[in-house]
Amino acid sequence: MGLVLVCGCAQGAPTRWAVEEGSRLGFIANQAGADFEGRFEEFSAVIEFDTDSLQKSRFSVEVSLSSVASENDERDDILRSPDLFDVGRWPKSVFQASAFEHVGQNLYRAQGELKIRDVSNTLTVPFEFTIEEDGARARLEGAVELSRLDYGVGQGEWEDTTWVADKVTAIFALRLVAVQAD
Amino acid sequence: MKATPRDRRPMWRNSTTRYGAIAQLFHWAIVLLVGVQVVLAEIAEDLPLGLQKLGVLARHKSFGITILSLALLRLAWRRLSPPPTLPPQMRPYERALANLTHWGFYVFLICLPLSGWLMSSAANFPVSYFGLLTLPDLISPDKELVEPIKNLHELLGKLLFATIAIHVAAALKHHFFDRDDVLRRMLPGKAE
Repeated sequence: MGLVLVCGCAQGAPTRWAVEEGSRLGFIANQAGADFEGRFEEFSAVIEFDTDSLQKSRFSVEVSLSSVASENDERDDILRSPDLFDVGRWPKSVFQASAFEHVGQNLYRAQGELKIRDVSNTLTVPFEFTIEEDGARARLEGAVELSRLDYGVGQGEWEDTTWVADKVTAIFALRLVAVQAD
Repeated sequence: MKATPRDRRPMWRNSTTRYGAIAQLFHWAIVLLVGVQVVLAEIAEDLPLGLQKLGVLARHKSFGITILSLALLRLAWRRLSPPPTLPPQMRPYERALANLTHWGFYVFLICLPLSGWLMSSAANFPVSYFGLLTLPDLISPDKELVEPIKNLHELLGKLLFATIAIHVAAALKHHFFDRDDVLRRMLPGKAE
């Protein structure tokens, strides 16, 4: 198969990466004082990233909110409902970033915008980008805390944060493989 | 300042003829908490899954863990201060039933909260003790196990209820029919 790492030598164009099986994207939320984890089973991402080409790098992640899976069907149904994700009206959430900062070693920050429901907010996502020994694979991992109410996730009775905290941590661990240039 | 006269001080430990203050506190605290649990469980059962139900169940779990802790502490206390001997006039079958119900209580008061904790783990709704600390999951989340464990939890609840019914009936029988001091031994009062 010969996957070749497309280096940033062609006009500084960043490497394009494909998201592999085994990648995870999810969240940790808090109910009644106890953290629980859930994930999204369907998501796609356009990752163009090179440590030497940060200015031209970009992320575009699309998450199917209806694919939420928190190991509890009742809760997943409620998450999909109008007062929370409202997947009937807004089935997808999108994160786009085109400004990156190297903060040290393998650590970076992506400045972008996250849209959930009908609300878009700027969001800075810290992450770690590690290229594997073979040069053709990489890991992109990180977590970012956000406020669900900032995105309207919690209408009606669910606006109350007594039993479901406002703060939610989005977590991601992507396994990437470099895509051969055309 | 005079020291408190002996008969004014509470008898903390059990004697051979009656229960001390510690045992009584354990007993009546657990009675109260079990009552609260039954009410909370009934309320939660009728609610659709939503914010209210989350709140009621969170409290139910916290009180449940309190009962578990008290039952274990009570068991430990029993080692340090054995219960009074059963009245001599009790028949063998009565003694057997008394021992059975008392041990039944320990089994149910411990297994009920444990099964609830297990169910919470399976349902990926970890237990938080009154929002102060989160208990570790006993098992990994598993959708298939939730229903069977829930049935077990409910069955244990019914068995506890049956045990309570026998226990209360027996206590009243001793008090009003046998006219002995079995019930009085668990109530505050002067030592004989």
